[in-house]
Amino acid sequence: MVKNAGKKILLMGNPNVGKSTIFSRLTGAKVTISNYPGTTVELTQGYIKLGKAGSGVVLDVPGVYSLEPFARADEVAVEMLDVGDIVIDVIDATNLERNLFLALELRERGIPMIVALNMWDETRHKGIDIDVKKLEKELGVPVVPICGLTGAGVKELVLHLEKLGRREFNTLTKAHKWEEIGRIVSAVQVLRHHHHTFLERMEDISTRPVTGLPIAVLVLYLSFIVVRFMGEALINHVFTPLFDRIWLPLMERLSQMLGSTGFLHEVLIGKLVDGSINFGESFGILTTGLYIPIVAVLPYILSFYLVLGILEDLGYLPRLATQVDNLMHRLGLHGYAIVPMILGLGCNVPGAMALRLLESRREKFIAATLMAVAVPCIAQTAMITGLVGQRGGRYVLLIFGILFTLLVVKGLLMNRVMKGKSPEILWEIPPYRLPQPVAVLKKLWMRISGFLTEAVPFVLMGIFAVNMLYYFGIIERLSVLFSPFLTGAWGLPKDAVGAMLMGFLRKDLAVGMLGPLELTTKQLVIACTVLAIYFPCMATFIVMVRELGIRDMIKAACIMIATAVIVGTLLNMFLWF
Amino acid sequence: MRSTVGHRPVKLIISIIFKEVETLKRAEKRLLKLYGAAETLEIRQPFEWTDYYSDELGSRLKRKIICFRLLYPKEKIFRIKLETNRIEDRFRINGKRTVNIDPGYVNDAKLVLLTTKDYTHRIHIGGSIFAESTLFFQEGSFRRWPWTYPDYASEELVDFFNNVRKIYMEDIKKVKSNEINLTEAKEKQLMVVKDITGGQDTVRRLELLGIRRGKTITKISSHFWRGPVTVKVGNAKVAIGHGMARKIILETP
Repeated sequence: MVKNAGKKILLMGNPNVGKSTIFSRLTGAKVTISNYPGTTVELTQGYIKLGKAGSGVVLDVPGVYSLEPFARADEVAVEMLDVGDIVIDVIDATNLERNLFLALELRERGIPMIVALNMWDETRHKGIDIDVKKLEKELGVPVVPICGLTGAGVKELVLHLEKLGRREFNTLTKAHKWEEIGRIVSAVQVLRHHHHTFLERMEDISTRPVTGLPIAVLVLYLSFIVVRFMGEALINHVFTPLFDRIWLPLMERLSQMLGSTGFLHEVLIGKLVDGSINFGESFGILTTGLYIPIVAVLPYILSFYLVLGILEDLGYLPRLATQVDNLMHRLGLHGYAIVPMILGLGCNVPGAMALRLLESRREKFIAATLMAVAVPCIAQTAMITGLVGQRGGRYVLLIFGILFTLLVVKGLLMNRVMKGKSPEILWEIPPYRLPQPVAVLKKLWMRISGFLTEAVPFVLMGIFAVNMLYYFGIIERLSVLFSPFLTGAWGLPKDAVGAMLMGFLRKDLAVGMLGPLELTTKQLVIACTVLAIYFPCMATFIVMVRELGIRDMIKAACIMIATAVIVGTLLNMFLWF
Repeated sequence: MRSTVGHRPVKLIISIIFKEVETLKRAEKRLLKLYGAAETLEIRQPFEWTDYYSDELGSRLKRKIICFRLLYPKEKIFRIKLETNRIEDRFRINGKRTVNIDPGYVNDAKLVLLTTKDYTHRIHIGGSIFAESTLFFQEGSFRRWPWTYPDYASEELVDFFNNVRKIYMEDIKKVKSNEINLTEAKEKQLMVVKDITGGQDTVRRLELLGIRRGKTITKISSHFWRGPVTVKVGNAKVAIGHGMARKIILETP
């Protein structure tokens, strides 16, 4: 996991102390992100130049409040201590007292250690005076005030790293630690009165539910608009032209070389539609297999992660999670489940990837099922709006109304039926901090490369599998099998089978395929709703399998299919137009 | 039956059985010094229920039950029996007791007596002390258990304890107004954490976020329908689920 490249430097600290900003200040462009073995805990590492001492590896350890572990992420942090040569304990200078607990625990470990007193610039307008020299003496380890945002103090920190030595400290009991902390804080820190800054006033407004809830709605709406706009712009003006102008000619040549038919052609290029390659429908690994993750999904993922990263670094997510916690609890989830749900509105794939934010298996299961059933991705939303909108806006509203009702009803039901309870929230709400572009872009890059290396291979495999099902005629047999049900229960014409099958792969294309079928409005509404509910698209499915495990995913899939059958049939019976 | 709210202190009562009024006065003085002033409510009666004490104390005994003003924390109550035992010893003449002192307490649900003698229905509560639920409160009055001593089941004493309970219920209202949990706290008001009644894990998790006994915290906001509560601790803000917030007991500084 950790390559042998000089000293291993652990970047540790409480959550929300600006560790990742310092990380991006310390390290160069080459950064890798990986999962800690056997966990979904993400581990980021980068490289640092250390003057004469050569180079080192900086490991961004998950934020913890204490070395006594509560969650898996905490355990990882403690295990990391065994491999580290140096510890940089990042302390939030505006929260000295609480941060010192970890510092006292860390210094007892006997690893050479330095304290980075972060947020130094913030102490001044928060009315906090800290005597750094005194603090250094009290702690017995070097203390460097720094500001991750501007980079001030980072150089001194690096200089210190080269000449850190080991020191022994007595082990204190917990009670003694708090006592010691009380003593240190009163010795080194003086508080003055200060006036509220603009950001602090914003904090108050977005925390209070009366103003916070409308703000949450506004933020979500704006994020959604931005992501959609950026995603579409990227698809139409960057990725599609790139694929059409550069990749398509290459593929056409390859297709000719392979003689336009045969098994290998089928696997790599797929079927030719009207004599030419169709990236959406050919189903070859090199055509549809690359087109879907890169052209259709990646732009949305890119813009989503950009917006998410900004909101994250701003410190908005814990606030949002607190605002919606109440509602989410009723659905068997807790506040943070809003993140995968929102992501899912853009594209279910990153939504499913964000499931790992949730702690319990129960929550992951509920969130995944709800997302797959009731959260249409943006591409699908766009297609439904376009196609059904021609018949009247109220039908579009009807479809989304049905989906939302399903979300609430199913959440309430699963919360009742499933054993266990959603965990009680307890988290820190960090102050607002202006996001730093470098850190945001670095994080964006890490996430995108994570998507490309982790999700894309699965999508390729999925496309290959579907292609083979077509190739061996299994799909046709399935459609013969299912068409009586389609016409009987849902009242859809036989031709809709193709669209339904396409839905396993691409929901938006599937909706598009309904267009030429000349459906009645009622049929169209049923088809669109059922398409949204019955199964996640292939890419989402694969990611969900990875996050939930195959057994839970099968259970979830059964719930989805059952819901689609019931809802489709009910709509067919009761829709009045 | 009523369930008792876990965290509240209780009303201390002490029964004194004696022969000489002089002994009573001295014992009473000692007790008042230890546990503070008594309520005006008290009861005095000849003690003719049993001759269990006649060997030691003699015949024609009398009893007085005192009710103290102070509300006593439940978890420390066993110490009182240890202290009254020492007082009994101090009043011994030739190794024989001249006074019998039995402490106990009343709360909204029951009368509990403290004793050094173990028995089937008695539960050890600390030191060498056992507790017995002697009367339970139901439908407007205290009622007896099968094991209740006949004197405590008498109408006179049941009436007395019903009145003690009335005073206690008034007291506890006042206590409650000073000591509240986080969900009941007013926004923007400085409060001191008095206790955290949750399990070890809850206590530790809160502690690491800076919420522990003696810390000053300010509630910032709370959400509708039993939503989370946000508080300010030092310079940090923390969101706490409703259930956990109820376990954080606060008092005005």
